[in-house]
Amino acid sequence: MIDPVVHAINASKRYGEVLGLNGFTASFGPGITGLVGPNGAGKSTLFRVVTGQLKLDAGQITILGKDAWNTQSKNRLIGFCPDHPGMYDWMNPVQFVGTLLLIDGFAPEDAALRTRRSLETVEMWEFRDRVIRTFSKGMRQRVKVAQAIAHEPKVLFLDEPLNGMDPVGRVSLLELFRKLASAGTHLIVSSHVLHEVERLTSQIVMISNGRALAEGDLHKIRDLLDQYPHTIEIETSTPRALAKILADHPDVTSIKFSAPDRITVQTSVPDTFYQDLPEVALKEGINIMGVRSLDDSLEAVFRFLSR
Amino acid sequence: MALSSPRYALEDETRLGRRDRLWAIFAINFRLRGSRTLVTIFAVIGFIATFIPLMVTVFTSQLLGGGSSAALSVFALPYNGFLLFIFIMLLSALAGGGIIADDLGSKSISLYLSRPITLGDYLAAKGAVVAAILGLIAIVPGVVTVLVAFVLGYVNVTVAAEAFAVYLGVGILLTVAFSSIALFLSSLTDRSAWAAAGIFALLLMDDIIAGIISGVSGNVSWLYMSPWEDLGCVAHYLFSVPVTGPALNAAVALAVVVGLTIGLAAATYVRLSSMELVTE
Repeated sequence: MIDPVVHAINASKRYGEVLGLNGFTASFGPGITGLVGPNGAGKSTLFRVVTGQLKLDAGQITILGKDAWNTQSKNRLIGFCPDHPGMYDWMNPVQFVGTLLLIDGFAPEDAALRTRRSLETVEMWEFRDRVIRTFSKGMRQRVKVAQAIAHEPKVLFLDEPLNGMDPVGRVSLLELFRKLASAGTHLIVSSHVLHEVERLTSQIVMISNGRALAEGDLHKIRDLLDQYPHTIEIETSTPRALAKILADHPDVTSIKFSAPDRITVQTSVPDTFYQDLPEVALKEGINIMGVRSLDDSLEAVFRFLSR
Repeated sequence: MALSSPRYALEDETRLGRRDRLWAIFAINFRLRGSRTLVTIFAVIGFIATFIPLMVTVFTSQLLGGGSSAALSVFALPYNGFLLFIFIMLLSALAGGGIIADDLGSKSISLYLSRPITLGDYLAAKGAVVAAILGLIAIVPGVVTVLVAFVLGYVNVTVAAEAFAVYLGVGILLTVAFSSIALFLSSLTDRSAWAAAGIFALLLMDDIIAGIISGVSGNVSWLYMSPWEDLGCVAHYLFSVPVTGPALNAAVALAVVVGLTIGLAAATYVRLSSMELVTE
């Protein structure tokens, strides 16, 4: 039995009439765990609780075996990269990261060394003299990650860390997260984009309406989903002809014309359907411009799990 | 081979103590607030406007006294009128308006509180920033005047020591009280301009209304509702200013100021600890 890094039992946090967390029960880590859920699911509330900024109304959350609330010494071991700007943008990155390290309790010399190291890690050292307000969103994101890793935390909470990043930046940050994990840091990464998390880890906790809907291996969850009807959108120059052919397909349960050049098909056996579609198109001479699974969106997964 | 489950333990890293962490918060915020042009201008004008009249009064008093030491009551001058109060209001608004509101607006409060500090630490450091800036006009001109007057021989050592102690004591009370007011009002919004306007307007209106009601009703007790009047009363008492006519009771005035300060500090703490911001 491996101890989880973060363990939540029936955690509830209410904002007036709104439930931020509603009996949330899940275990995170070790290693990288993705926290996925649509906007408003409770991800940021959970992060604010685990970083000791919010007190639970009920239940318990522990980090490395310590209660999340009112355990200031625990904050030495965690790094937090919030999803909001939260920066003094009149500072340059050295001043920003350095100040937070001083608040962490590092001596000025040590803080200076760690600041340089963390900014080099996120490839922002060369911009050290520029004030943060002149940075792009992606550059700010890197500085936020730098402050989160500068004190070498044991557990890193990253709230939508890839938001606003360009594709190259995303790749390098994902690589950094993997390196941190292989060096022994436990990462909990939140995102509302499933494929982003998939590129990082297969261990996920799904959250919606403040509750954990599923936790474990993402592929197993996907396999579970495959037992239920999938919705697929097909872009074609001849939608009527394609619809006529697919109407005879044994695994297709419904067909809709969603746009002049698109049809939406529901199938209970997506794997077979995906296999058959190119053959059918080729045989009948139908031009297919694009195929998109609408159920790939996180919201669709949650709609299913919420039933 | 047997697998053993990992057990996590909090390590005792060598890090600086709480005082150093608070100092780091103080230093960065003092630099941010104190370097603002308007704060610098009003702090300098406030210092000059307090120091020069006080110095002239002490010198004149000593001269009229035939060279003997100026009386302790002469040093109550800054608390006789409203000039110091105006600068206190201005600096409270300018330095205190954004002290918490800016952190709420930018949500940088999250970065502070995810560090190994408590909400109490955060508020103490923030309050100290406003208090230090207010102290530039509430404490520094007074104690500088006392030292200069003593060096120039305008006051004897007893009066100088008493005046020094009173300036320090009342000054600290004043700065803490007004910081507490600024902190509370700043915690109510995430817009520093609104907080600043609120601090200035509330302090001014409170004093004006207390004065009007007191004047109309003929009951000086209404003046207790103005922190400036309360502090003036305490200062006059400690500077041994002779009482003429109906006046506030210094002990009650002191209790009101201390109560207000503690009450607002507690309210700010409760307000921030129960802050319910849905950030998603």
